[in-house]
Amino acid sequence: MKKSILVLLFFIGAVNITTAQEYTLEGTIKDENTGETLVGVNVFVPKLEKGTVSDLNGKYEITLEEGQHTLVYSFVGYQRQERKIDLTSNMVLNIWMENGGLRLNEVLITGERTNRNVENTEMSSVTLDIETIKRIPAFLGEVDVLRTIQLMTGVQSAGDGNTGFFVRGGNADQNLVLLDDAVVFNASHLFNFFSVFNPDAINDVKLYKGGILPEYGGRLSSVLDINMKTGDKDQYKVNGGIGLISSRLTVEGPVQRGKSSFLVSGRRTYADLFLKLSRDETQRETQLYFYDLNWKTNYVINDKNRLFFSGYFGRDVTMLSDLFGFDWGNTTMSLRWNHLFNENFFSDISFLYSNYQFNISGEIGPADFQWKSFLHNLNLKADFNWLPAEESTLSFGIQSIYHNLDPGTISASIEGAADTNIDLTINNGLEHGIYVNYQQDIFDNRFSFAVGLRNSFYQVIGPGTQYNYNQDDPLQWEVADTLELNRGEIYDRFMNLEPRASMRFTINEESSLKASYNRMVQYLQQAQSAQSVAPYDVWFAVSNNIEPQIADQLALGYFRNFNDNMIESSVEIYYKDFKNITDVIDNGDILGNEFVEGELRTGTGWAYGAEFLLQKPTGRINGLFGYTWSVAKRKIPGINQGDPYFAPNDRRHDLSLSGSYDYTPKWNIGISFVYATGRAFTLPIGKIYYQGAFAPIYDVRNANRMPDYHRLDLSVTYTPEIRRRDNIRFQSSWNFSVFNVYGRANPISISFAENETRPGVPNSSYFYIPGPIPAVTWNFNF
Amino acid sequence: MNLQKKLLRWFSFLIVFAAFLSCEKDVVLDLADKEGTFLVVEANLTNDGRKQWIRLSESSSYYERSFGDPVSDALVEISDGQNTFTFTESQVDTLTGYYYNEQISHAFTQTIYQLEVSHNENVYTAQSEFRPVPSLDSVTVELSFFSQLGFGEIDFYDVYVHFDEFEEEGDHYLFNMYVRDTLKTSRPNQKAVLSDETLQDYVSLSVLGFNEEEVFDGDKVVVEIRSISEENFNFHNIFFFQTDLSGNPFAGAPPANIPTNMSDGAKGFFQVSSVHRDSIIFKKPQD
Repeated sequence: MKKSILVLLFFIGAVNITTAQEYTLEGTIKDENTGETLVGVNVFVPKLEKGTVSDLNGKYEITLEEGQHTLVYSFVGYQRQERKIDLTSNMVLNIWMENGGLRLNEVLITGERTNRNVENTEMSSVTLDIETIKRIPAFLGEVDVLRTIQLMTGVQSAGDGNTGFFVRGGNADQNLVLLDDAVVFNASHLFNFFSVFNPDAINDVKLYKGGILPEYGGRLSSVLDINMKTGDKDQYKVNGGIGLISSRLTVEGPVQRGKSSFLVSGRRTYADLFLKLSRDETQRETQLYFYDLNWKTNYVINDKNRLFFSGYFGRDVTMLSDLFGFDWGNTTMSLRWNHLFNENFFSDISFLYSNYQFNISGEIGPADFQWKSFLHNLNLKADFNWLPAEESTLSFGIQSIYHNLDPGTISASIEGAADTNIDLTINNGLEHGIYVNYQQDIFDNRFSFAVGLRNSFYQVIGPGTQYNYNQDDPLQWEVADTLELNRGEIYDRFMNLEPRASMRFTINEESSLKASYNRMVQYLQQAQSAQSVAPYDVWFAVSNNIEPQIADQLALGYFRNFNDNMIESSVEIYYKDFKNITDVIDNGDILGNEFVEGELRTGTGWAYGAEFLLQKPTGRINGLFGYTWSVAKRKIPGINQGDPYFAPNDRRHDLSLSGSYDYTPKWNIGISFVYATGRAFTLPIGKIYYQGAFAPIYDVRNANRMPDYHRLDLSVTYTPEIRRRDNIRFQSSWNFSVFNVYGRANPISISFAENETRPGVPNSSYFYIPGPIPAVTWNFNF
Repeated sequence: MNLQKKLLRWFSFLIVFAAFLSCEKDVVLDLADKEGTFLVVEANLTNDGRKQWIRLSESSSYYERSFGDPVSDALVEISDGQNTFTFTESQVDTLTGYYYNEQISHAFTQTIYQLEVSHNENVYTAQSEFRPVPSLDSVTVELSFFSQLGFGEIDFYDVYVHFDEFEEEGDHYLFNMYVRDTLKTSRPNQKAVLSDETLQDYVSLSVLGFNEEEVFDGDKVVVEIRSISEENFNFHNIFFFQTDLSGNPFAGAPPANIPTNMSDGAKGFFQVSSVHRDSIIFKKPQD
């Protein structure tokens, strides 16, 4: 079931005595993070085999005999909770349910921790709420969802100053990034330094590294499901922040009190505003900024129907005087109708829209240049959830996506040269998915399993152009003939069955074993032109030359809690097999090339590893320690002479440590340390001297490693006492952070070229983010 | 300059912006040098009537301050299928590894030439097609657009060539510039290369440039156009990507070997070209 729909709401409510020995237990069940009421939560008393389900308003009510009872609250996608009560009168018990992993705000009614780490059937996933993310020291004070995700086991950073990430040996384009279910195709601002997710608009984040539910499809390696906050339906609130890089402002409140609400959140960087003060005219006219806007509204139509409408709009603007301009950005929109057929059966019908575009233009002397690129994605889907019994859940759904990938035309006009127009290949396609998933707890919840199947289809439709290549020379494919696709006609068709399964065996209350298997299929991929994912890397689809990429992943895990569930630990091992994975040939010409498919080769890949996680999610001192050992390799004919080689994201060791300490109610200290083996890279084995210039000689692709990566970040947050004036509650906080405390120069990329200042001397150098970088941010809310 | 190269030059602006947030640092890495060396062949021959030369050298460790040890005692021959031209190694100490031939420049005809280098019981070969080249009508010099905008403290000038392009497709050209009889574009990444795919029938195009500290009022500027193969065109472009844009995280290419038309693991390139030259006397514009 859709998690966001499933945002469960538990109420624990008032109780009315019905008889002398019977009392009523009631309440409201809510999502701990969003505060949204949760519909359809199972409330069950195992001893009496009696139960009920929360209604559309998240309310439940159950009549029980006087005495001690254990109640179990369960809901798909949320952590099962147990509550022991001594019922001596009517009673209200409101429940706040957590939707996964790392928890963070301890607002449970009892001080007792749940053992969700052990009892949840899901594995290879992590959930973070935004408050946890905010406690981790941030680069330049900018709280960033993606940078926090990079701290998780099995997730590798694409590099310093880079919000890109790799999951279990997958590429950056194999992560399905969803914002309120709409795909975000480029999640970075400012050349990857920041992500597009404004922390003030985000409620929670869930990352699936494996055991991916059948409702998700289209990417091989992970799903990053990000939910925006829902505006408060009862009162108006304002919060924001002023930092070194950007300022933020969020306003939320009721539209119709108790029935509908809104949230609007925006932020903008302002480094370019300081350039206006420069004496240099070119610098004054230089622009370098980004902004984004999030909004969300929801409307309770009646007891059985709710509407949600949310969206995102963001742009990066880079302009060097009037010589060079580059802007790019995403737009997403999500419209969701939640309908309750009855207490055990409800649906979500969603219409989703995603757009990514960039525009590059330059005018230098006699030369003009322009490149506009668009990507549209229209997605209609229906998800259904049926709860036939307390121990079982059946979910199913259907989805259809229209992809319009128009990488655009690159037009160049140079005096004396013919106007050059490179029409990059348009990809239009329809991607469909139909899925079913069944989850069952058996043997008194000692054993649980979920089995599911997704059937995905892709249809290549015109207009567009297809090329057939002469592949006699594996190193250089030449276009043999060209086929123009007629508008609306279907050409290539692909279909793939994607089985998914997971199981959990509870050894005892403190430990369990879990296993999962999933097959994922990916029909779109991104052509990466340089060492870092760039905003102008275009997406392209399967075709007559490119088969769908397929990944099979098997994961096993042992989960163990300690100290009354206050400390959680897990060990997971995984093996992942890739088919039809692509890579670029040596000196491949990917950038702005209409024959990009001829520059790619397809083969197999495999990745395996072990992840160790130890975390203390709550308390004055909380944090996590994670360590990942992993290997990622590929074998692709036409690359590296057809021999196996390390994937660019192969990284043997990856260690992260993050923590938070509430020194006093006013002072909080945050720490984050990461260490990782250097990224796989190709280093020279020698050089040639030719016509007075040096050029490196390379051997095996990705056989070497960049220098190891490590970094320590610290932060201190001071939260003064709440002030009140005219019944307005005002709270603020100061966050002081230092990124890269000991100034480690972690390479972003390495250059091998002649020394610019000492001609004739071969040199190597690398770009890095200097450190330490201090930052201060003032946050407020009222 | 081909479109993509120009495109990448534009993209290299991105590094300017990235520089707002990043720094560059020299570093010496622990490189695993491969045992043994590769033969490097530098063979760019023309029909200009002069003595032609081929340089043979060995590759070296990356950080070693070496211009490549010369390779002596090799047998170097070029054949057009009927005639074989033998290149003889110079006996001058400072020109060890240079092999010369005086006849071949006068003998080029439109055909395929095969280079064969025999050394240490190994034989390395390459082929190159000799193609005609258009004559330059004229060469002109104009103040660069950058200078007009006031970038930098010294003026830059663009060098334009004007010529009739061949009707047939598939031609590629290389441009060199000489100032005061000295080649100013000796390195592969300094030369300009063009594909006729991007050219109009009559070409008036800025291909090279210089600054006011390199060329003075009254200097003779000679521009040379050579016919080259598509492979050689790619060779120069990739040389540019792998050296000038090396390490640029946004516009560079993943590290890979620069292609060669030499066989058996040898590096470098063998190219035979037609050549034509024209010149202009540089007159610095009056302020």
